[in-house]
Amino acid sequence: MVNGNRKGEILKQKSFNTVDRQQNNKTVLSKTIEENIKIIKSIFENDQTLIVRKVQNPEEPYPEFCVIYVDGMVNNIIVNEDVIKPLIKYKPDRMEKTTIDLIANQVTFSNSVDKTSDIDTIIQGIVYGDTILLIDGYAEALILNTKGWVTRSISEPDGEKVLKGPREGFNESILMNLSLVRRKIRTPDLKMEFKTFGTRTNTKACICYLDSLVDKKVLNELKKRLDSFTIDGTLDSNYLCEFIKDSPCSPIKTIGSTERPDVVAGKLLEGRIALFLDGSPVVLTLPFLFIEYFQSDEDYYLNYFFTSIGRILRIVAFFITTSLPAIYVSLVTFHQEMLPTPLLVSISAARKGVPFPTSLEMILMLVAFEMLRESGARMPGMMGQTLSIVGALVIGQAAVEAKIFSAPIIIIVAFTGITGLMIPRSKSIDIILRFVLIFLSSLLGLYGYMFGILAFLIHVLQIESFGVAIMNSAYADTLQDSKDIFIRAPWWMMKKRPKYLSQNEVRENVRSKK
Amino acid sequence: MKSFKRFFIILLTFNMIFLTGCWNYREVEKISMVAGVAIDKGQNGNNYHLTFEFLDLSGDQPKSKLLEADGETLFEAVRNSISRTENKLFFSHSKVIIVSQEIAEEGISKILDFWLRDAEMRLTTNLVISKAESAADIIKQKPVTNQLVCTGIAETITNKREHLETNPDVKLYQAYNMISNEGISLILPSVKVSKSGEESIVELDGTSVFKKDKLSGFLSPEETKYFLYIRDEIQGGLLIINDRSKEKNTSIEVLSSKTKVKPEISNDNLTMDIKVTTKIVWAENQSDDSDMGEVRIKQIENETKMNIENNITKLIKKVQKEYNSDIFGFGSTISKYNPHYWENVKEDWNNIFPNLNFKVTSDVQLVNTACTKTKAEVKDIG
Repeated sequence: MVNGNRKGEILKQKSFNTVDRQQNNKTVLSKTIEENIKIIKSIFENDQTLIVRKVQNPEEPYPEFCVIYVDGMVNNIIVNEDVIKPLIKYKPDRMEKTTIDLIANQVTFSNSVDKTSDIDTIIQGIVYGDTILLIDGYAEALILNTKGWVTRSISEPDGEKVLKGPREGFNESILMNLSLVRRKIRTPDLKMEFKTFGTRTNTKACICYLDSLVDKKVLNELKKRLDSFTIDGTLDSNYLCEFIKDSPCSPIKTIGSTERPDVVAGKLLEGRIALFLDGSPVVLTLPFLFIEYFQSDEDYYLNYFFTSIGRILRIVAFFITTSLPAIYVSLVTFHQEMLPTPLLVSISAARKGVPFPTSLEMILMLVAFEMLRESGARMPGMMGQTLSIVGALVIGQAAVEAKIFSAPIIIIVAFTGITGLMIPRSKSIDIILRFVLIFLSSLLGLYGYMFGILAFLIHVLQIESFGVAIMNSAYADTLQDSKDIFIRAPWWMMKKRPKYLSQNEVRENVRSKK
Repeated sequence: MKSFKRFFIILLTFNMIFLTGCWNYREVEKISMVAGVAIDKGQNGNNYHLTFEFLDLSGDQPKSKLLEADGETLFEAVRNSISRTENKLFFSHSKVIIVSQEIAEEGISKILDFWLRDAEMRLTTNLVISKAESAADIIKQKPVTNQLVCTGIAETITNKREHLETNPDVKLYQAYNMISNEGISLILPSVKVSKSGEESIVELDGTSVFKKDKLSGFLSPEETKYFLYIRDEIQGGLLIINDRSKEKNTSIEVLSSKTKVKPEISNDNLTMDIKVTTKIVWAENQSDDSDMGEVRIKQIENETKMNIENNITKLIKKVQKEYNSDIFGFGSTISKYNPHYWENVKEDWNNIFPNLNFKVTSDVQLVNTACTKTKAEVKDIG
């Protein structure tokens, strides 16, 4: 009950800035510029990146101007040329009094000028790279767009490389990311709604969808979930993902993610919703179907025969990487009659003198492989050579020669590992399912394995992603529904969007017959 | 209440996992794979004397090893073997069961019961009858190319079936089917020990014929060939026929063959109508006759036809007279075509079979003369 109350309180507070100011009792701007500077300076106390610059027009020293911004967040050239320079250079009309509207409309060169007296908005503007222009005699301030911080260039994401197809990738700036998608879908139908997350970080997020395609139920559900929590700070879109995900305790994804604008555009065109978060190059797409684990963006850019084979291979690889160790353990320790005789003879000969039981051997070896993989992912690049030598020689060759591990185990683990790397997206299911299945198989043989697989199927089949069953593609009842599942049909054959994702399932793909 | 329900579900789940059968964890190196068993009559008051051949993995190369055990019953003998080896014998990969002539003469159904009942035994294991002094003699021979004698025997049986067609291929379940069905008698392949140069080796040697479940005689490899024609189990094989000068010097390779056996019943007169349709290839021409033209081909076809018809007739007459055992399955063919008629005759089948009328016709078609149309002729004028 205590927790519930606290949660409610936090939800009530709009932001921590508001709280601080309520304590200081300085919520409104005054008419004198000195007072206003003092208010802002007291809010940014001890923050030396706040620049306060007073400006006076030489021909008319009154009213005084004051330019306030945070160093490093603004483009200095814009502040100098388009804000300060016009203020000093303009020739005031003697007949007309200099008003705040005159400054806003006729003097400054900024492309976006907002007039406000709300201190909250002013502070948001300052921390987001805008410049505040205070004018003596007005209890209002102008917010001028001078955002200009350094961003990473648009480069191909390392995790999602393609042989053929667009090579752009998102970077950490939300506006640039949105522009990348906007450039692919040039229609006013593309909606972008902003929201702010993080009571301390005030991070911008954007819900992006195609209005005529999106399923309104999914959209409302998403908005409801986004309003249902508060968080201290959001540094990556995964922070949001974990709050709004269905089946939060399951290793199975119910929200997709990508770093590629072309993938986001493709998902939007299928009626999905994209969720951008400022500061993260990873964009969430939802609803997520189980088959998306096996769909690669490249599937749509290369020849459909080739990519269909690739997709089938990925599905087989998923089966192998989760099941092969468990099947090996059950065959070798329970069902020796199921192995062909020559294979049994060679396994039996290889296991001669090995100290561990097969299941323990398998688990140790898989843990060793996971450790190699993890250290490969974490270590600095130039140490890669050491890892491959130690990994290949010590764990592979030496362990077998020293009769600590048997050779078939190494082969199985290597195969499991390689097939696991084929579908990097599903690694959380892979690793959990693999070890659970090995455990069950070492207790009960294939019976235990089947038990585990059935439990997994039951679990997957009942999971929904924002109201859409993630396995709905598994029981495609028409040929049209199955055209982007196990194979990727040619574009002129795909006349429909995936089931239940969109309010308008018919694509406009038509191939004219001459 | 809710927590009780959850506890109950967990309890049920764990019961499902832990209270089920098949608790049979064993490491693969802790079992000895048995390749085959030889069953003999026991000495010293024991009923059975078993010789197991199993795979010995202790050296660098897997090799064959033998283990002998006695027992009142087969199961006891198998269990007795455990006290003589550190590993448990594992029967799922055994290829062949060799039964001595002595036991086969007493009745083979006693043997079948154990191997069919035991869960570890595979029903596709080959069953053979030893023509040697004892079944153990067979298993004690040196393998030719295989590491194991028993694997060798099993592989020879399958190979020979495809290329030579002089022995039947009978698995455990097939043997059981033959014994348990009325209107067909059991046959099994037989093996003997023979000489190949200095060494003695195991050789397949035709068929053993059973009356009920007791061994009553043998068919030679040549007779077995025609027996397989009647049973419609021919997949290939050779026929050696005469040329125009009545010398046996032409090889015919059988491409495919189809046999239809049909009972013809008229006025209580039963005739088995056996129709063989064969496609052949002229595989070897040893005669001086270099003519390989159309007339000659007709003659070859005719000769093959006569060969098949005569030999089948001879074989059926021999089985009728000597063994009185319906190994061709005429009885079961009748029961399929005319069950009512079979109901009437089956009590008296033992007396009907030796005098059963039959009619053999065959249709032979020479498909090609292999890679050449002509004979390798000598034209060199020396």
